[in-house]
Amino acid sequence: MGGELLRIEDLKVHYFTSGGVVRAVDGVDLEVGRGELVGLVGESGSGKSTLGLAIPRLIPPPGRIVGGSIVFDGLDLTELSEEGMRDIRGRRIGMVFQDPMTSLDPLMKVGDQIAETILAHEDVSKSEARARAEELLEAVGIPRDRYDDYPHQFSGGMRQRVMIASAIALKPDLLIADEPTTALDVIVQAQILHLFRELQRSMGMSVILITHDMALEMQVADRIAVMYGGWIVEYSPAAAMARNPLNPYTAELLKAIPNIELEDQRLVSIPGSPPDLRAPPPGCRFHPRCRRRFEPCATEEPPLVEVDGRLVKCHLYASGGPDSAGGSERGEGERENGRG
Amino acid sequence: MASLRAYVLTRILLTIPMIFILLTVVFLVMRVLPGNPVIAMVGMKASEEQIRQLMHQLGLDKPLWRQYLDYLSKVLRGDLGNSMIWGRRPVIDEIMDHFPATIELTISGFAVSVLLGIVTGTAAGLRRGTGLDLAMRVYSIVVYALFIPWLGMMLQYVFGVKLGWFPVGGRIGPMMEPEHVTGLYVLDSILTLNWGSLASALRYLTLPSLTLGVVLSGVYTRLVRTSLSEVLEQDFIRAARSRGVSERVVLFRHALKNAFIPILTMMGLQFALLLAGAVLTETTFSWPGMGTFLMERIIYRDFTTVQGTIVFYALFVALVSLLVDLIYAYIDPRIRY
Repeated sequence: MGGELLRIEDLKVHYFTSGGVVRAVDGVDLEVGRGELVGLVGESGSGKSTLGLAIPRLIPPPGRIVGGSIVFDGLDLTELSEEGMRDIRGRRIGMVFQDPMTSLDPLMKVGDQIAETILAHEDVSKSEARARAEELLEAVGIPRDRYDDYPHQFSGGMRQRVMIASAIALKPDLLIADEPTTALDVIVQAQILHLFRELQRSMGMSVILITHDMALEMQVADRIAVMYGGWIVEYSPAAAMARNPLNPYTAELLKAIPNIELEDQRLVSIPGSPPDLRAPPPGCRFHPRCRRRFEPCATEEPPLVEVDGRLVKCHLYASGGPDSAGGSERGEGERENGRG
Repeated sequence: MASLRAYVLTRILLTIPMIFILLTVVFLVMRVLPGNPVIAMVGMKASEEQIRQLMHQLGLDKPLWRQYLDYLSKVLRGDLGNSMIWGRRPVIDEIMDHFPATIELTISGFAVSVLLGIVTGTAAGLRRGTGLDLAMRVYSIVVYALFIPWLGMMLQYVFGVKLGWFPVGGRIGPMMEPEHVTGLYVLDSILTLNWGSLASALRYLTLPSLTLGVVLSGVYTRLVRTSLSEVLEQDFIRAARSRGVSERVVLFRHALKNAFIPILTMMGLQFALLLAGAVLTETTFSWPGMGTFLMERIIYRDFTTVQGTIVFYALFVALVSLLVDLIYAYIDPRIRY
C-alpha cells in the first residue's frame, strides 16, 4: 500500500476517422496509488473507455496515442516495444471488459481462457496451469469442475467471474475494469462489485473502475475522476466529492443520481448533449451546458487547478476566476443566476 | 460429451430419410427421361420379341411400384445393377475401378483450394484496405471466373510443354503403379513404402490439382477475408490481447478458429462442386477417373452404369455433408445443444 503506481501526463488519444479526427482523450492527467481503487466516470463518449484501453495500449485502429506519457511503476508504457508491452499485459495489468457475453472465446473452454493468461507469461506445464486456473475459478466463486464448460453454458454473471479470474490470474499490480457490471442485473452487479473489492483488498491491487454509474462509484471508489469531452474535469476523494463537488459538471452528475428516500422522485438530467469530439466547443468543453459559465468559459481552455489536494479543471477556481480574490462582479452575478 | 454423442446419433439418423429421398428422385428422373434404354442397348434393328425378352430380363415390364421396390432393395444391398456393355460387369465394380482416381484428385484439389483460400484470405483480412487486400480480392474474382479446361491447358503448356517440369496427362508413370491397397496411388505408395511410385504419383497429380484448386480457391479467399476481419473485431480478441498472448496465438487459436466456422459450411457445399469440377479436370488431363469414365458411358448409352453412378455420387455427397456436420459439432460446442 501507499506510493504511486501509475502516472498519466497530458495523454492524448485520437481516432483518425474518415469523418475527422476524434479527440477521445485530449490531454489527461491521472495518478493512481498502489492499492487504490480509482473510479473513472463520465457519460458515453466522454473518453473513459478509450483512456482505459490506452493504458495497456489496446487502442484499436484508427485510434492512436498521439502524445503524453503513461508511467507505470517507473516505466513509460508509451515508449515500450510491442513485445515489452505484451509482457506487461496480463502479467502486471489485467483487464475486465464490459460485455461478458462477447468477451470470452465461444470455442474455448472457460478454464483454458483463464489458463491462457498463465501460459502466456510463465513457463509452466499445461497441467500446472490447469490446476492454478481451477483454484482461480474457486476464488471467484465457480466450482472447479466447470473448467471444461464452454462460455455458452454460463450465465452473464458467471462469465464475468471467469473474465475476472483470467484478469487476476497473475496477481497484476493494476486491474482496469471497463463497465464490468453494466451488462449484468442489479443483484449480480452487487455480487461482482463485492468480489472486486474483496480481491482488491486481499491482493493489494490497484483498480481503475470505469463506469457511467456515479452512485456505484460512490460506494466503492477511493478517489473518483470525472471525465467530460476527453478531459478529466475533477479528480477528488469520493467522500469529499460527495460532500462538495468542485466542478459544476460533477455537481450535475451527483444531482442526477436517483434517490429513493427523497420525496421528490423526478429524474434529473443534464440539459444539452455531450460535445462532438471531432469539433469540440472552444474554451471549456462543458460550457454550453454549464449553469455557472462566465466570461472566459467560451473562449479559454480552463486550467487544471489544485484545491485542497483535489484537482479540478474549471475557470471557477482559476486565479482571476469569480471565487478568487478580486473576482469580477459580473461573474458572481452569473453564478447567482445559475442557481436560481 | 453425452450431448455430443446424442448430436452425432441424431445427425446420422437424419441422413436416412435424406438418402431415401435421394434414391427416389434418381429413380423417378431416370424413368421420366425420354428414350427406351432397351432399344439403346440392342439397337434399332432388334425385333419386337428380342426387346420384350430383354425388358423382362431387366424387370422393366413389371409395374412401376414393383420396379421401385426392387431398385431400393438392390441399392440398399450395394447392388447398382450390371453394366449394359462390356461383359455386363457389376456397376459397383466399374465405379470402384475409377472412383479412387477421382477421389485422389478431388482431395488434393480440395486441399489446394482451401490452403490457397486461407492464405490469401488471411493476408487480405489482416491488411484490410491495403493494396494487398485489393490484390487478393482481384485474385478471388479472376480465378473464380476461370474456365477449368482453359486454366488446365495453360498450365500444361507452361509447366508441361515449355518447362517440362510436370507431365501433362495420365495418373502415374508407366510401370510405376503401386500395389493395390486403397486405389489411391499416393496413399498406396506410402503404405507400401514405394517412394518411386510416390514421387511419380505426386508429379502427375500436381497440375490437375492445381487447376482444380486454384479455380475453387477464390470463394475461400473472399469468405476467409470477411469472416476473419469480422472475428478480429470481436471483444474476445481484445480480451485475449489483454492477457498478453502473442499476436500469433491471437490469430491461430482465437481468430482463425472462429473464422473457420462459416468456411467449414462452404467446404461442405463446395465438395459437390468439386466432384463436378473434377470431371472437367479429368478430361483435360486424361485422368482415368469417374469423369472420363462417365463421359464414355454416356456416349455408349450405358444406362444402368450412368444411373448407378448418379446414385453413388448422391450417396457420397450425403456422406460428406454428414462428415462436415460432425466436424462442425467437434469444433463448435454450441452446435451440440
